[in-house]
Amino acid sequence: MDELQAVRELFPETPPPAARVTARARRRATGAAGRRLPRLRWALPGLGLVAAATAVALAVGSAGSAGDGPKRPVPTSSLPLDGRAVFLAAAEQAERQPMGGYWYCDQISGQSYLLKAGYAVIGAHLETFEWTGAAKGSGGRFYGRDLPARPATPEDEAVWERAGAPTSFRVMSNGHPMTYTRKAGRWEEDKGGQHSGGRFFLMGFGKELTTQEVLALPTDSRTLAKRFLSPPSPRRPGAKRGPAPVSNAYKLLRAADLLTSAPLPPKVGAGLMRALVAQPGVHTIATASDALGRQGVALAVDQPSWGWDLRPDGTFVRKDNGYRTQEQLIFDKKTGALLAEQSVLLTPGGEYRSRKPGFVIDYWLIRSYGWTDRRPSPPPALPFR
Amino acid sequence: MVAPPDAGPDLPTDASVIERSWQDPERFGVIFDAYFAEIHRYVARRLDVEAADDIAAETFHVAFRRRKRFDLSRDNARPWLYGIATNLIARHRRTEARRFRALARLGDDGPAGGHEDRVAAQVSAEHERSRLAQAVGALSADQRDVLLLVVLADLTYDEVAQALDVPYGTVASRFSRARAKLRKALGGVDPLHDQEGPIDG
Repeated sequence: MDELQAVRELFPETPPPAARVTARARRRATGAAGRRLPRLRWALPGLGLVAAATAVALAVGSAGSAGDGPKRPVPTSSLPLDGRAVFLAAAEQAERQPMGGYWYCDQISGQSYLLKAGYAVIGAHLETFEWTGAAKGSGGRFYGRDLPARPATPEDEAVWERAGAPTSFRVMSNGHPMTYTRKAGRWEEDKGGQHSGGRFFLMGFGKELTTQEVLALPTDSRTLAKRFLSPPSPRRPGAKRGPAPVSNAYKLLRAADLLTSAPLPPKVGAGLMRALVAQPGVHTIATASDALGRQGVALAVDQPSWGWDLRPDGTFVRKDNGYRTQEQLIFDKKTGALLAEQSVLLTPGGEYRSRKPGFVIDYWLIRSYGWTDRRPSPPPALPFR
Repeated sequence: MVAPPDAGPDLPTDASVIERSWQDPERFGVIFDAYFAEIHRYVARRLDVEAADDIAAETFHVAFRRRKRFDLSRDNARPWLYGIATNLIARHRRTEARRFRALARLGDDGPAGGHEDRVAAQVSAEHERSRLAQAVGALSADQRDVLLLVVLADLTYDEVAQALDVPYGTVASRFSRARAKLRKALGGVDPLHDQEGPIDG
């Protein structure tokens, strides 16, 4: 008998995973804490379901508007010239950051959900912490923890308190119920995230780069734009369609990912920032702030009012959202460090008709990143009070 | 997952779904729905159902948390997920060793009665299976990973290379060495004059 067939037969077929196992795993794989029994408090996802849009609007509209707090970013104050100068000054600062023995990155992701009770919460709230030693053999780890769901704005917090300050929020997400709670999870090390150090994953290379390779990346902004802000290619040989054109918003996200994936040398980071600001459709905002209340200068791309919606069969269909958003990258003016990437409501409408411009639909906050001389560990303190 | 990249204009690739999940976490449910049962099946066959319940769930939890590390130039997330699962399986070497001991064990109750030839055939098949289980269990972890990703998960060499983050040539060499060892264990001719010792990079 063919030895490969024999091996195949050596491992008998197994029953499919139990529905309970699958459901629990799915919740963990989509950002829900999903540990406590949910209270029946329905909410609907901030993005997605066509059928849900009307219900959201009704639910939120009837409870009065829970608008934006003073700390929300204001996307309307776009000052192309000033903003650009401030941004380029920040890029210059990015060139001056020192190096150390360990590189780390602490990030927070969250998404807003509009609840029937008339307020919005940030759910799918996760913090991840990763570090990599610069030298081979100096190690690397990846940690994650669930952050408490929280009212999205001070106004939402007031409505939430009037509603009795519930501690769990049940949301429907593409037909799957998920529950976000006010409870913080413990830091957990991802078992698959251990590595020996000295190597970094940078998108587009198809492999990890050594620290030396990262440090030798080009610094010229045109080369960087060509290398990193062009379509994600090459595709597999034989694929019929070429790479899709790269949207301007994608360029922002791509750059944010690069900046937070590896210790780009200061000149490379600065070159990338200059490459970004030179892209068509990318404009600057002199002052923007993130969910942690940090202010900075932002790069922004206005998004079209349509998007893709998920159908029950798992395919996507084009859908007019009725609202427009803006993707923002916020940089610290003094250090040039990336502070946040966020999607902000530009023109209310559709699901977000009762929300004001500036409402943060989702965010990815860079709590901190950079070099350190001591072996890093994830911070015990929660980022939000 | 949902469709190959060239199947139609509106069918998303894994890469486009994962990219969207950066900002819209539930989108990752699409990846989960497409691959969870498959990863579970692979781990369950290789270890056992209980380990698979844990490892498959952990695979997607890790993948979700590391979704910004997915290389968007790769349309298909399958190799990436198998790679994560393989790393997690590595933490269960003891479970795996136990599994191979169980597979290698000969039936206690002996062959059922019957015609002499049939009994002989059963005994022979039983012994062959046992030898094979021992041989698979005796492979280096690297070779076993490659072998089982190809044979049980039906990954191509290219996909195994992506999953394990090793060069294509290393995959091919590990696979052929593993295959040669199995053939030898089954009493066949070893075409490669199999060498023990350091295998590859």
